[in-house]
Amino acid sequence: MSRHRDDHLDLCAAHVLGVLDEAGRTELEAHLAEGCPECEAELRSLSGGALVLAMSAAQHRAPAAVRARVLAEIDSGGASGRQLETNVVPLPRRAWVAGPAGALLAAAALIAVALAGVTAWRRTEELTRRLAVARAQADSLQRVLDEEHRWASVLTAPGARTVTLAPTTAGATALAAEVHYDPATGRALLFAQGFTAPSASDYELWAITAAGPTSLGVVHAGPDGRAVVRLERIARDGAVAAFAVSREATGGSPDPHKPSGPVVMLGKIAG
Amino acid sequence: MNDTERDRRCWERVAGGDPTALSELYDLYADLLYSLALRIVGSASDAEEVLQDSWLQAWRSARSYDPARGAVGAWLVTITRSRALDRIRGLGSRRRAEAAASVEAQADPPPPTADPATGYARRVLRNDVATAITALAPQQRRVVEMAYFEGLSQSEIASKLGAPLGTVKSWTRQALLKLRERVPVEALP
Repeated sequence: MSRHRDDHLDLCAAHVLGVLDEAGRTELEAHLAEGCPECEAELRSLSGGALVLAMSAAQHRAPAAVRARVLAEIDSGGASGRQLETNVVPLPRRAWVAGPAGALLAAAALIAVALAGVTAWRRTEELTRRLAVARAQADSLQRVLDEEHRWASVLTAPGARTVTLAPTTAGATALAAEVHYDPATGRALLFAQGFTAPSASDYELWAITAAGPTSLGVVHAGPDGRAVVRLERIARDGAVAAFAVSREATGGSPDPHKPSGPVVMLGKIAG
Repeated sequence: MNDTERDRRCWERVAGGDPTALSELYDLYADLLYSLALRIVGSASDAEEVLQDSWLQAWRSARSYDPARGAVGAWLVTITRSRALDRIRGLGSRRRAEAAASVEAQADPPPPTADPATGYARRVLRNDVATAITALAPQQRRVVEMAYFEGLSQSEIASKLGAPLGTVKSWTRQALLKLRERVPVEALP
């Protein structure tokens, strides 16, 4: 086993950035092949750093047309050439001795066999694909069901709190909102009515802890002004003292820890 | 179920030939991948092609994805970066840098998500990433950005910056470790 050296760690850094030269790659691969827990841990850690770099690119919206083109290409089979497991058994070569007529017959027979083979292969492929889609749909429905059960438990959890938010003096009485919060899991459900925001504005929900407010995001209501919002990763262990709603310019407050518009609703957690 | 597990299950469906699963992952990652491609190639039309080619490549090679080697999001990032760098090879580095600087200045953030919790988590993550990048020493930041977004080797970077190769290697590793330390691993794709 090649002994670990500190310069192996530099090779790991160049490797995760994809800029390792040939000599370095050969050396690192040989070293890793013999097993080096230190370099393996380093690679995992440095890969996270490379992902942070990827995320540091200025944000842009992917053009909608690309999505349509990708899915159309897949749907039409234009993206074929998928790596399929082969189930073709190679046949031994045979010596052929035949005249021109024999060669024609042999060619015709080969074409017929090939066509039959292609048809059968395509049918098998299609059935396999349909089966995979059906299985995937069943899995998907099960996941939806599991998810619904998980969220329903927010309402029935033993330590769950129900917080009714009341309009403040700056708020409109047409607003109504209730938050069901499970401190044990950090999950909550918001039920809101009358949340049709005035022009060029949005309603934003906040959790208030001892450290101050933290945005839970903009509430997007339907055309009837109603919204049901599922919230995760809210502070656990009862750290939330209250929930509030502010009226912000479209998109919400620029500061995730401070409302920039008026607080229009507030609800304190009892006890 | 965390995001990594959600993506892995979704990718199993993709590998089984389910285009719906691919569209679900597309909606999660297309903005990130397009932004990355645009940063590298510096032109919207080239970035669109890179994005399209990357997803088709991912679809074709879906069965070669190995969960043991990283999350689905990280794999998609690797494919996209690789294709984007392939596209710019041969272009002058100055032209690339100018184009990339131009698109960086014209950020067009995706709209808020319908789910406030997701939107909030993304804003926090973006904030963490920006803080981590700006906290790097200027030379450390420069070397990792030249390597990651321009595909330059460490020797090329050393030559461009007039710095010893050993120093460039050291800056590179320190920068990656600092970035990783400042952003929670569970938040990464």
